[in-house]
Amino acid sequence: VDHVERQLAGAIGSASARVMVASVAQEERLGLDDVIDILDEASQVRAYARALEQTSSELREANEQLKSLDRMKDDFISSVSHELRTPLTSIRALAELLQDTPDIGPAQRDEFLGIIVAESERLGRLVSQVLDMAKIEAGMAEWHCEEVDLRALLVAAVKSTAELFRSKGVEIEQQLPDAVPPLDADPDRLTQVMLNLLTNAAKFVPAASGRVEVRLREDGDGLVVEVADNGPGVPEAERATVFDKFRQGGDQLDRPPGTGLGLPISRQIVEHLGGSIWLEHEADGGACFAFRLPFQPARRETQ
Amino acid sequence: MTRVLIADDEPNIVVSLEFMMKREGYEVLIARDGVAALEAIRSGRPRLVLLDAMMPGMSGFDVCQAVRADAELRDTLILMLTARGRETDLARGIGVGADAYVTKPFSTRELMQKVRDMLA
Repeated sequence: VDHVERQLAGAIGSASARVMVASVAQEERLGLDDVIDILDEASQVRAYARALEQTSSELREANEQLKSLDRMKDDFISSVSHELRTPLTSIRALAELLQDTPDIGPAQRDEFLGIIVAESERLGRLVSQVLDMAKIEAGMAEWHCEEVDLRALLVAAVKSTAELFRSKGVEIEQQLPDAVPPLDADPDRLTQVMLNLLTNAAKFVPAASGRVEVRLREDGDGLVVEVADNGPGVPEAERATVFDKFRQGGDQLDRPPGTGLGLPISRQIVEHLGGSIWLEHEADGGACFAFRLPFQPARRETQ
Repeated sequence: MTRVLIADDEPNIVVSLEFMMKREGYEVLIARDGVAALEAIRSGRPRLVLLDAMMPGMSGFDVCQAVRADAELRDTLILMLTARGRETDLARGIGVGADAYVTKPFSTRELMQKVRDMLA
């Protein structure tokens, strides 16, 4: 009897076991206290069950999040790997062909060498972008802040991407005030942000009928820059994550080339300078990336 | 003359592959995306396709699958090229019926040897 009672106690609680064993084996009568004890135990068991359920659902959720982060990392590594290998493929193949074809014609040789140089530059840009991201993330980036004339910086950035827009037949318009007060910021990093936004716009606007507008205005104690395009805009589902790392517009096979790092890097730079960056929508459905920087930032000390 | 289709959306990779194939004496067709590749396979009937896995619109995997599903095109030789060095890609390439699978960047000599072997 003791043995049975111990076994039962393990399974259904000691009060329940005692009562059950008592009423079956020793024909004892059930008292009110016994019933209350059973109810207590039962509600405790239910509470444990609920807590367990809660914990396991939290674990399930955390597990899903980890899995999705893992998938994103995997996609990111795969897309960075593709972006890095593609220029390297042309460089290696054409260099080997030059090496193995001593009697190659001068025009062909010049074409190959031109491609090798251009693809090396492309590869260099990609490598520095990936390294930049890693450096900023690790808080190891160097910042050189000084007085910056943002208007002049925008004009220079537009000028340096002019060829990109011209070759695609895209019109670029600048709406800038005659002068703006200077910012305390890192001009090279800001140029990087502008180039990211401009090349993004160039990538997404339609060839020949594309139009991009760069706007600058004073806003309280800072300046707001907008880069608006008449491309397809950012799909609803991607708007919330467009500045996240590892994310890139379009599906895996049908997206424009890029590491998916341009916007995350831009956000880190703008936030480091005490500002914010966001996405708006144009009346015609195009995307408008905007950022605001304060004249005198209370910079985050992330170094 | 043996006809080879080059299907890749990277113009500079096409330049190198085209040079290699022509130097070897093959007739070359070119497609810049998956849909154009499938059309070129149907209309041009190349003996071999150098097929990039990741192209806009229709991927190389999709093209390969479509070719294998078509009784008339089934014996087209397919060499898949990919710049994503993932094991799963290789498995996927073989899974959809590619005859060979080469990762980018490739050695031009090795690739040429593979092409010669396949066409022998």
